[in-house]
Amino acid sequence: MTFTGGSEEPRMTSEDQIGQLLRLAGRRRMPHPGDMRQAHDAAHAEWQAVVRQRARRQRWRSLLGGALAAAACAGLVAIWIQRAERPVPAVEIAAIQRVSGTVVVTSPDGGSRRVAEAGVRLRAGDRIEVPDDSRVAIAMTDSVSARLDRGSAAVFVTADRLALERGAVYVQADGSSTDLRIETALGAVRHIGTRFEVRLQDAALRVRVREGSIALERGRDRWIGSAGEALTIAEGRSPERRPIAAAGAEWAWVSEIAAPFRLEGSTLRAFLEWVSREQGWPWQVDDPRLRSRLDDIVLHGSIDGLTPEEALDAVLPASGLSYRRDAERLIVAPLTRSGTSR
Amino acid sequence: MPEYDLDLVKRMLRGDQDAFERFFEATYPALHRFALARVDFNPDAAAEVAQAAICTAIRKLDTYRGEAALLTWLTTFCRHEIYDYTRHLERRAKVELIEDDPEVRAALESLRSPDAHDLDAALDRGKVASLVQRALDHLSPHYADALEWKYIDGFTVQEIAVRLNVGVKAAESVLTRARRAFRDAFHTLAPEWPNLDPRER
Repeated sequence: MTFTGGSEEPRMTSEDQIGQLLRLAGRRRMPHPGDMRQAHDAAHAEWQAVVRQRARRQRWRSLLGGALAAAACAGLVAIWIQRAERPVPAVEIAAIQRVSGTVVVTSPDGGSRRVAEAGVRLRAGDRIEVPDDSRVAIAMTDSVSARLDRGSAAVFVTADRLALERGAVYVQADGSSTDLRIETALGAVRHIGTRFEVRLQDAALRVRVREGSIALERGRDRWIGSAGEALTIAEGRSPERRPIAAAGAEWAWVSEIAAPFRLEGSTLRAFLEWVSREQGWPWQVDDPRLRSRLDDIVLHGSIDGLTPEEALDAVLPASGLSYRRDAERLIVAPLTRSGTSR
Repeated sequence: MPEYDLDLVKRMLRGDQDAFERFFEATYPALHRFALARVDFNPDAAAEVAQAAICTAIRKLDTYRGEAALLTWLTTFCRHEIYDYTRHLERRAKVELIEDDPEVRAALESLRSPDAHDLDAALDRGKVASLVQRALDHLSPHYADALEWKYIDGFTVQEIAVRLNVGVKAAESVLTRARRAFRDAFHTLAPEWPNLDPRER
């Protein structure tokens, strides 16, 4: 293909030539919409983490600036020095939400205690050992929680670092949550607004991403895992990827140790969203009248000790509702007189 | 252009959602195309590489100084991801493109100012399409859009003026500058291509 004509042909203009080139090439190829959406979500979560981190840094700078200004006053400096010389208690960074069985918490000074109830606070450096017959759910912040499976051991290094020594941890973090890094001998995993499981098993690290994205890091290497993917990495090898379902038996342990849901005073929508999040089942309400009242129906009572699936059986019939499962979807409907859903 | 890019990045760092959306729309598709040509046109690999690159770049966003165009800066991250990808496949350097030459990259940088070059030599159709699309990626977004509207969609200058929200004269001027920038970009990527008549200059 050429654009310069022979002696008998009129010479083409630049505009003609550019037009021909563009028509030949066609419109610029766009990525697949699914890839675009996934990349957008991952980039957005990454960006939000950066913005939050900067905001935190700026707050610290402001605090530091204030502290320095105060330090100009000799009296305050003296007080500050006196305080600095006192031993600083370890910072509380997490709290146990639920225990199934008993776990052992060992503090950095070597003291250990057996814990069988919710409410115990964890301090920086505390190590949790979960026996083979127990599980534990831990609130890291308002928006980040971790659950340790049977036979796990982990150190809560700081509010945003958890060192997994063995077993498995499941992390649930919403989009506005602070960073949390799960460190293992085989690599580290950082959440990007997501729910995922990190498991050390058979000399390999496996990360199953249920929602959102994670970053798996080893040295200078970094891989992104997205919802519906499992990444398994062994020493010196690249991760293997395989598709996974967001619901099913492999996630059962997670809902069995789910932090209690406060039913009293909650709306039907909040309850369904909790069940959906724990079970990995998207939910839907086809009945338009019921759909319009999801925020108005207020639930009462307690479901402490019940799994999300058991809670469904207990709560919905008492509210004049029923549910059925269609593939992985939870469909909620008003009860008919015969007791089945419409 | 780098001034505009730097402003966009500063707005992103302040948490401006609109800036993030503009950034993503302007860069991800271009990064995907950049990666695609370097991973044997495997769309899944290109998506993975482009996503990893844009996420890494966002984490280092506060190091962007506006010395290079934002897309050029982002492609450095993309190159690292492509390197990792190809290294793991043990077929690194199978695809070496002319843009990877530092001199060519420097020349592409200069395209933001309307200097002129001539084109020479002929290439096959597939490569031409790839070169044309990557040349468009190196233009200001509204230049690339205007050229596609004019020559692929067949819009009139009046219709392009409406889309650009400018007068007809201004739209004509945008098209003239866009053609000139495209010619320069294309020449940088394909110096062996026959001359595009520069009589517009």
